[in-house]
Amino acid sequence: MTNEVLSLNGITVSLEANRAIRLVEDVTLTIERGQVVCLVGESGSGKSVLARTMMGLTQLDRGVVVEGTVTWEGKPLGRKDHERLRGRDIAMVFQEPVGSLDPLFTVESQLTESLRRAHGKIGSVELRRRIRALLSEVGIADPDRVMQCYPHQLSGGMCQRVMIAGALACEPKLLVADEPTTALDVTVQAQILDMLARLCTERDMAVILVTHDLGVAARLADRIAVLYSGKLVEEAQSDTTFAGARHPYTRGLLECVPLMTGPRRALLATVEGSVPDPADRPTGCPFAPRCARATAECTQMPPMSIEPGGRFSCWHPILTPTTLVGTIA
Amino acid sequence: MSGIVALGVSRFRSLGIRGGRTGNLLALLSALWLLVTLAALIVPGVLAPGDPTDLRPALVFQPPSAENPFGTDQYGRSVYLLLVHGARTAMLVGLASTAIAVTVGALIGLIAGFAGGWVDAVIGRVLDVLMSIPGVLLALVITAGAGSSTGVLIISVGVAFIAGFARVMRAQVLATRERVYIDAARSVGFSGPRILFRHVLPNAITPVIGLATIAVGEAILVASALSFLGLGPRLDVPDWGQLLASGQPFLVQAWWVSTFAGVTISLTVVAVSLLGDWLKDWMEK
Repeated sequence: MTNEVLSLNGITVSLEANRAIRLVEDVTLTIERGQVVCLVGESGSGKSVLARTMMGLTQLDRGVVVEGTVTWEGKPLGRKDHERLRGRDIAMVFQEPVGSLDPLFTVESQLTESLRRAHGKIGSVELRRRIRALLSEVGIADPDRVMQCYPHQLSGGMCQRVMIAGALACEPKLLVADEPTTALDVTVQAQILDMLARLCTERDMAVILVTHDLGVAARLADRIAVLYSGKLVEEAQSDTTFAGARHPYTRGLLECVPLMTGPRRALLATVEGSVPDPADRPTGCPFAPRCARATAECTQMPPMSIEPGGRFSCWHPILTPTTLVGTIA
Repeated sequence: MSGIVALGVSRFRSLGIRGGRTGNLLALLSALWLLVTLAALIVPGVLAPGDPTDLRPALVFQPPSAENPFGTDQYGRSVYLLLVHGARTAMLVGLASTAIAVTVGALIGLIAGFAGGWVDAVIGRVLDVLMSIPGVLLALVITAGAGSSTGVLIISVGVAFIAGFARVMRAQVLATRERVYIDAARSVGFSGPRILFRHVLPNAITPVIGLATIAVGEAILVASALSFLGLGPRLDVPDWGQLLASGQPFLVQAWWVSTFAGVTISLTVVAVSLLGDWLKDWMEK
């Protein structure tokens, strides 16, 4: 694939103290140029671990072991290669906007760091011009005031815009956004997502968007990857997922999403139970204990079945289209 | 002695008069006292003209009078002159030993916290051993081994305080390195040392600075205790702890020698502690 930007090949992340505890298990995923890939799953499904692994950050953590390879444009990445790419070709936006800016430095000095890192020495006049341009690009109306602010003087939404500006400073080919709007209120969330969508098209930038909200995924995603208990259970083109997800877990998630139009459902559906503890995961399909379709066969891990629109890992896929009537977002 | 002063200081804190108007007033009084001490340190001759080491056999054990405000000691030296000129030794030892303790301690804590693994384990055990010995005792051992002079006093008191700073720093570094902005700094592509010095150190150091202001008082106290025990600077250098010790056998005939020395040490230590506490609260606001 010539369009491939970053890909994960058989990534497994386990605890050093107990290798049987796997936070992420055998995940293979490819991101292509300019594509928005959404990583969807419940809390504890390993979304954030996977996102940090793409950045090469999990690899630096103490107490965890990362197996498998991360490749960039087809070439496998070592620790130093990853460090070289960060802040140049790949950038990341985190879940807590206020916490991800260093409280001791002004917005200007933090953006200066990012710009210098990406583009080397820049004169101070040019630097200020670029910072102003970046802040305007992320929809900040008064860049000159915001530049002088410390993170605590800004709202969560403003901090997230600043973080995104910092991430864009290097003109990355891939932006990893780990639940960038979870901590923000709904109106700001919509603005930030629209902005990400715009930047993605304008800059031909690939985006990994981690979210637990399928509504968010519906808005932006080209492809949707569903994680459950550290395993990739289904991955498909966005419209394929919404029209006819094969995996019972994905179906369950879809039924949990409130519809904006169409008939009103009396109660939103829920997926009963919770994600198994990584230390106490069932053998075979991790979703089996919560799955209505589970049989004896499910104690064996189902292989990936590949279809034109996507792939899924289930012995008893649902082959009928979804019954969603109305629009999700 | 050090126990009593320490108790006094902790009483002040437990009374809850750190914040609010009383706290501010106490901080102001402390600052005034320290300004006087500072003046004594910089221009002792202006506050107390004369030679403090001048031995005057005719004037032995004179009670406080207009001429000798705090009386004289067994050599006829003016207690007032000795106290004013002794401020230099006290403050020098207090500040310099704290500076040594903070610098070395913070660096050790930074390395232990950031490196982790066996480095952290080894440093941690060494610190445990150091912490298990009371500061005065540790300083005493070093001074006893290396001989007594102002320089040795500074180093020994400094070394005695290193472990405390290293532990606080290590704990702060451990907390700071888990912050999202450290991950964010990594995601911008910065390497370990740069993140350590630009983001971890400045964010972790605040409580250490707060602790340092309080430690200056304690260092003065430990230094005075050591020179009380005869392990301080040479006898011809005016020193508070030494004066306290020299007056102690004559407490009944000449109460003023030890009393004024003791009050000066106590006031200074309490003032530094209160002001340090106030500064710490102010920084955390």
